[in-house]
Amino acid sequence: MVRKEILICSGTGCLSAGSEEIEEKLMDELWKHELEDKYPLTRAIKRTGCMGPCNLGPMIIIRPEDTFYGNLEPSDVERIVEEHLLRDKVVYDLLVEDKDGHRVEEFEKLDFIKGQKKVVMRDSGDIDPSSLDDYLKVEGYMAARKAIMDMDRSEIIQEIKDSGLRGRGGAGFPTGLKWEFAAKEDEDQKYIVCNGDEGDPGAFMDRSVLEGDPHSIIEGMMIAGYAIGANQGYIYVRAEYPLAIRNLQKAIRDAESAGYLGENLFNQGFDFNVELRVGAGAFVCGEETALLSSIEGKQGQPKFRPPYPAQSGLWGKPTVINNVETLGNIAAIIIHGSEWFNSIGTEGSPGTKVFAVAGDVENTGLIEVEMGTTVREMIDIAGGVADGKDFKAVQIGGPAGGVIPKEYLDTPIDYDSLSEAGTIMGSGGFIVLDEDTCMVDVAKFFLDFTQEESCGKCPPCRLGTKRMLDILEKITEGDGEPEDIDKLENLAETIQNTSFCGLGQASPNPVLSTLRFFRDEYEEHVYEKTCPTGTCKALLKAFSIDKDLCVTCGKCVEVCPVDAISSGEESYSIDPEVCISCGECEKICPVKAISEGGKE
Amino acid sequence: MSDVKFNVDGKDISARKGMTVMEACEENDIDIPKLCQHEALENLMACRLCVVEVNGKQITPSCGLKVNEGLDIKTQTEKLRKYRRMILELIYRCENHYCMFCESDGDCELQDLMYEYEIDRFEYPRMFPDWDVDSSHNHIVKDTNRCVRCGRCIRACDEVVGNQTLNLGGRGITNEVIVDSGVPLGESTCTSCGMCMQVCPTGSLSNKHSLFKGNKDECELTKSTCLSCSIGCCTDVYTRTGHLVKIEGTDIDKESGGQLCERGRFKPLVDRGKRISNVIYRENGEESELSLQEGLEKAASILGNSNEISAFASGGLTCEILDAFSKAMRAHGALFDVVGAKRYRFETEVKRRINMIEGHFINDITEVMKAENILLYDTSIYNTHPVLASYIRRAASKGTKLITIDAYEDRFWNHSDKSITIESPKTQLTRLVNQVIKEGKASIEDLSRVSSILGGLRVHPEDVMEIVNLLEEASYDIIVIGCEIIDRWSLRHIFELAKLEGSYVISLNKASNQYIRSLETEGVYEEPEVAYILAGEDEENEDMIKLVENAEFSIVQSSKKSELTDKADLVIPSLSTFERNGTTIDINGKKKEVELAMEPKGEMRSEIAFFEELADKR
Repeated sequence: MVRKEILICSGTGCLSAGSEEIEEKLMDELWKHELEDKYPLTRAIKRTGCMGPCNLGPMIIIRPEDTFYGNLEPSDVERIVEEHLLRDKVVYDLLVEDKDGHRVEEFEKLDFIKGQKKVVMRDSGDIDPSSLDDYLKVEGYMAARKAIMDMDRSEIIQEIKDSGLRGRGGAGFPTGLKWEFAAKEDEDQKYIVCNGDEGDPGAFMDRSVLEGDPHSIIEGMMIAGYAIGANQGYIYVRAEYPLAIRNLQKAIRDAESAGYLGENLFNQGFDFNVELRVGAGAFVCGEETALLSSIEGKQGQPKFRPPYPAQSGLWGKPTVINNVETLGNIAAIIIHGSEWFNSIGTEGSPGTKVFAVAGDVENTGLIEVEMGTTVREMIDIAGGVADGKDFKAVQIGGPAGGVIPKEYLDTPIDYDSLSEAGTIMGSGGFIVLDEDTCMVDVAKFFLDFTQEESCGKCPPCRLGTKRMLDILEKITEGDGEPEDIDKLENLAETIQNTSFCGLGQASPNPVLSTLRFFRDEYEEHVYEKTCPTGTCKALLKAFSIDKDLCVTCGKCVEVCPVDAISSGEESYSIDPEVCISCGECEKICPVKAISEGGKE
Repeated sequence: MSDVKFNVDGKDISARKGMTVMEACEENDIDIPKLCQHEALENLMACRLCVVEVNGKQITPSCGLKVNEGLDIKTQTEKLRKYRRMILELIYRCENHYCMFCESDGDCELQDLMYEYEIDRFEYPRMFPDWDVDSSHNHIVKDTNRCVRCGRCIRACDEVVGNQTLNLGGRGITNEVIVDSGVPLGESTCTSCGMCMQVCPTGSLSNKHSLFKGNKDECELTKSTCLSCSIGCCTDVYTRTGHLVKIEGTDIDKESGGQLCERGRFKPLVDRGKRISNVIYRENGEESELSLQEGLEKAASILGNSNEISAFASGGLTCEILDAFSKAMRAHGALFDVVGAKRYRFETEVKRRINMIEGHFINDITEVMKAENILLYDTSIYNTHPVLASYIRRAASKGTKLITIDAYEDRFWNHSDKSITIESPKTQLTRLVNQVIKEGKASIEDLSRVSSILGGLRVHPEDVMEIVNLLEEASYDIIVIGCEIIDRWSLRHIFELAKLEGSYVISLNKASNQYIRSLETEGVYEEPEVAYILAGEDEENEDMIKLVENAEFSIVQSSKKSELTDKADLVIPSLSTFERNGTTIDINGKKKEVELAMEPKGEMRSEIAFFEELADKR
């Protein structure tokens, strides 16, 4: 019998879904069947980083056959051990179904995985992030070896420039160019900083990479450090990512003791060290100058540029700040070359992009796709809109981004096409919104976020976003006035043009973008005082019962949570003063006699 | 510095390279609105009111933009005015600004801009935030409701005062200026210098003692010099109808950034005391009031009939008064001394004995900011010379190593890198520490001997060794000696250390007027027949009180009722600081003008005339 390996996803998502319980049960079962010699725990059960399809957690993959079991319950484990491990028989009914209802055996053949192209997420879900050996087995630190031993600094920078890699933090600045600026500075001390202050609501790409493949980030930093002449790196992670912090700490320690960090790396006289800096989780610290202030121990507030960090950054020294995902690409580019990288993605945006897909889709999770994949294809990978509902829009780019409506479904995902469509690539938030989503509410959600996360330095951002939020609240409460939409646009213009940093400048985007595509929805809220999707509760009208249709079955009385319905001999009636417009009675009525604001 | 030519609003102007567009515009009388920029502080670029259009597209704050050849700047386009109006309205309507009920009405930069941009109607309703007013501080009221978050107070406290008491806390709409980690101002590490209040553009930080006494336009302004210590800060004294309203610092372009200390800014407003306006004569427990002339006669006759006379003057008087007083006293054969003069005489003596050259002494206190190490003997300068203390803190914040040695308490505890307090009298302190430092130099390894010297004292030999090493390594260290050290032994120890390590010395003196260095003074009789005390407005001096108690007959001349005047047999009124004209000499040897800010009250018109007449009565 071939030795099997059980991979258990232990990303934050799966941990909270109960993967530890599954793992414990698995160990119990192996013991029960006296399999401990065949499956020594340290080798056979491997805790990996995020595998991607988060809503299928807890999940395991059994190798070598690559069988995938998802949504596991502890009670399923016994069968997996008895049938699959002992008798080599796939437990058919525990397999995940594809969209046509067929059970899929192999992980790679899952709908969710098929359309993906993994570069940054190449090792996550495949290796044990706490094991340097595992990383070395997947050509770990080979890129650093190649770069430091066989390439000179300008060659590396040229390779990255040729690759066309653009910063994955959101703005898409060419990475090679950034390195070149810093490399040109004549300073003894330079720094390389990894920006792991991921803050967009619902986004967790960087967390997953840091958790699932920490060495690849260290390797990326090492190459960057060598290229620009920096021998000190800092990884800035938010304290809300305890697992990422733990895995990074372990990785740094292991790399140090194995000689991959420290002095005279690869005997080439190059020293490089990495330190971890834990931030308190302020959204603004994702802005590079604010992040540097935070590392320096000051309050995380943005600073004026120029000078750019590449000239004068951390403690006034030239500093390159790269996003986690950007750094995750470096080793692959060095190994496979810029031509290979150019063959992926589009001309202006080569490579892949990881998205955290959330919202109203069948399968949520992390999806890494080639640049140029259309929005429609992305949604297909995620299994389409949930519950068979209609697609309304997708929100890309987080609080700084905007929405893409139905008409733009075939927009390819790359920096330039997205910005033409009025949004930004951002760091990788991808929230699918179905027909029941109120766009005013969506704008309100994101603005509420930026408003709270504004560092408070400049009035347009600190106060302007609050003003805009107040207006949106007013509109959703049914108090909207005709001039409110103009006011929103006026405020947005001032905020965009006068705010200090990107956080403020981009904060009106969710409002402007929803106004651009769904202005009628705003107008309905303001003029008609209705919310077409029924999301804004304050705008709902009381329900009423059509006397002609009512059969006095009494079902509505039972479900009404506020006892607003009273019985009569011929018909029931709803007290509009008491009704909270929850709609339960409408749903249960067998003769469709109840409707919102319908005739009495 | 080469000149850069560029265009502002269609006008060609030139500026020196490195300047910001705002500075260049200011030089050319082009008005750009601002709330957060302040000439004494680093630019924060927070208020966004100074935004200008660059080359027809980019919108950038002019306080952050450096001048560049060929820039095309527009400062007053319709768009910019629109943005500025919007920002002003945001600030004005989101916080509780009610000019009519604000102390800063008329002195408010926000109000000025509201007028300038003609914002008399508003698009948005008031937000009515609910901030607590912090009135826990003795002198300052902190009202977040009127705060525009310009960050000037925070920067002033950090960059100028070096104290880092203020900071920003909270995000978004809950963002506010916090004190330390969120304590009331009155319970904080605040040094009460009032710098934050001075730079505040609105009524958010205001002076408790001058509330609603009038804005600056309604007051008379007198430029004068502070006589609280030998630094001699320049002051703006505001008075109205003969009353003191407020005092502010002026040296904004200098290192001090326009700061004053608690004593310079607030004490004259608080410490009003009971004014002495008449001569009081006490005999056999009976108190009688005399006219000034009668008092003068009385004093002259008592002085004339005595042999052992001790005359003692405050160090906080003008040169002219000290001169007149010393002449009058010498005419009566008195021994004459001034507060602080003794320390100066001792210093001179020690210097001569150990052949200490003048090159070791520094008079420019701003030099501490250039030193690698500062060794501070006696941390009382925190109270006696607060502005110097601020320089030391600033230096320490920027990487200068600060070593403090004090008998009882390190008042720089949150800035010092190395601190030694031994809880023993000062002489012993300096002797022991110095001995150790010298011993340590002889054989650094021999810690056991050091330990035996330090036996019983709470000093770790390792600490002392560290100091030795620090002084050894650095090429520029400064030893600052506080004014509490007044014995010759201690001075000798410290001077020897300076010689040994090649360090520079800043020696501070209790006398505010360094004219004492040119005056002839000597030790006075400790138990004289007659003691004549000319008190200034400095704190109660123990030496003076002792002298009054020990004298058979005591004359005290003072402007305010105090323990001294209560004990004196003859009390003669004098003028208060703000009623005098004259000069003072600061620690740097510079002569500064003390200007009359208020007309003298009471019978005394000129002390100089009084002393001249007293001298003539001999």
